[in-house]
Amino acid sequence: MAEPEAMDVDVEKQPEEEAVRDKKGKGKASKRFEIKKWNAVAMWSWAICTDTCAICRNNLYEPSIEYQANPTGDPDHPGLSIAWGVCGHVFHLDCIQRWLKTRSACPLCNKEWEFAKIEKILPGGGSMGVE
Amino acid sequence: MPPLADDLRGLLQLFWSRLARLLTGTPPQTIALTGVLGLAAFLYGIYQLRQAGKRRSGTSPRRAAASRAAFQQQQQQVQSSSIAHQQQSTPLQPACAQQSHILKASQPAAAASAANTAAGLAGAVRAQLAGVSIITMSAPGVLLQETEPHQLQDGACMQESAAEIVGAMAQVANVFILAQVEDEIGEATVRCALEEAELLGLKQGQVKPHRLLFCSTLEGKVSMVRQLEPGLHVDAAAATIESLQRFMPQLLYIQQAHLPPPASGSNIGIARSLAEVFQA
Amino acid sequence: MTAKTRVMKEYKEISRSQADEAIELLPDERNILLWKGLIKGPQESPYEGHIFELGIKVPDSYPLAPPAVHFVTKIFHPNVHFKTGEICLDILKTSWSPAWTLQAVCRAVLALLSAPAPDSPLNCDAGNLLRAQDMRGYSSMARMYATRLAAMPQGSSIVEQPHPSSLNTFKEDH
Repeated sequence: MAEPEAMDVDVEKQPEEEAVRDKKGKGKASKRFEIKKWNAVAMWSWAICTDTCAICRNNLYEPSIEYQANPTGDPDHPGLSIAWGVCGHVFHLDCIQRWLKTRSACPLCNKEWEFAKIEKILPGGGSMGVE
Repeated sequence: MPPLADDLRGLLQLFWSRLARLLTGTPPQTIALTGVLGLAAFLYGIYQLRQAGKRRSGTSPRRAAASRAAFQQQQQQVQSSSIAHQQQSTPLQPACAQQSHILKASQPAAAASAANTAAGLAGAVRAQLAGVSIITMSAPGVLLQETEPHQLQDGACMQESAAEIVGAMAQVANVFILAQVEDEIGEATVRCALEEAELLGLKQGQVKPHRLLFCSTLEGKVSMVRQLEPGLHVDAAAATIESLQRFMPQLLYIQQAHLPPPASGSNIGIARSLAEVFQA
Repeated sequence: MTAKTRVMKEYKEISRSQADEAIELLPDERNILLWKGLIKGPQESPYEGHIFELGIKVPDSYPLAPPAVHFVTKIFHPNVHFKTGEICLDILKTSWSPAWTLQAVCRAVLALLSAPAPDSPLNCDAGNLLRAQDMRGYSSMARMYATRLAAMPQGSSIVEQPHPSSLNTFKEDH
């Protein structure tokens, strides 16, 4: 798991993060301005190359569209977990399970599918916000 | 006084006295009834005469106008028909000839004669091609004097009257022209020859330019004909005719003087040229 | 149910992203599972300069099952049945994967037009022409049918609805 990117607290430096929300400070080199209020926002992500399930096209931090269509609230629902194959590709657990009933090959590389790892995604999405 | 005049006067007086006695003697109702009946008969007679007059005078101009309109319609059909309905084809030709005799004076002579010539060829072609909607033909040996692909490198000459016959065919069916060539030079040669004969174009009686197809192999030509599914295919290559015999309803082989004909078949016709088959 | 959601997502992706110049996908107004695809004939192929229409039916089990795609415009191609428009393409049958999208399927069809496979033909005559290595005949026939049956693009953009040019006045259903 990657370390959360932290906002640089130093007033004089420009923020490095691109997806900044609610930033109110107008930090500039000149000391004529002083920070009154600062909302820091952080993003975190799993260490994987893509963030979309190729089967349901939802973000991998979000539940699968099957779960979103029928949210049961059950934390063990496969729509709330993501699964890695030995080929390195990752999908929602329920998405890949339904596909494997048709053919036991990875949808992206066509190699024979074998589960490598299964992890739960955090409920409510994968972003932490400090408001 | 002459005696004749005396007799006449005597007769008139007698007639008058008799009439007066009759009129004064009969009851007035009878006179009234007789008068009314007489008047009615008189009016009826006038009415009948009028009707007879109308019938006699009205018929000939009406009949002439209708037949003139029909003749003009048939002329238009002959000159600019796309696909003629085959059921009408045979009655159309004799009817056209009949009308032309009756109303020669009403049409300009030149147009009538030109229409009749084109009508003659078109009619002959249409009669031969009853029920055929797609015709394919191989240009070498049929339209062109050259028969082999390598002969098309230097130039191509049209066969006599081939262009007119194909033009007449194009009026009644969809015509596709195929040509086996060696390269682009051969393609250009064939295309130029057909364009010079004014056979390619979008007008009536012309083959649409995109319906001129080329190929490099005999098997290719056979596949192309099979794809097009024509009612009649015309070819000068015996090998093509033999390959297509099983699949085509009608084939026409244009015989080459020094080459053996293909194996015979019930759907294979043989002729020395298109003109032999289709000339009126 | 999820088929519609997935198709809606694809529709949003198509609308948002830069449109592929050679492919246009239009959903049916009354049914999101019915699509019309308009593809431009690939360059340096006999289909160049013409537009072909595809009929796309998305099944309820999409994306686990492939969409049913067929040519609405008749086309002379060894892997397309001339009369029904059925396409012989592996990703539409055995090699389907849920990672494919409707746009990717159209791209695969375009690739098929550029590179026909004469070994599994649905149009035997086209296949025979290619097997006899008669490229002249194949191109001639493909171009002739495209001129007769396919629309020409208006101007240079595929965006407007194409309609047949005045040359395409053919009489029989061929």
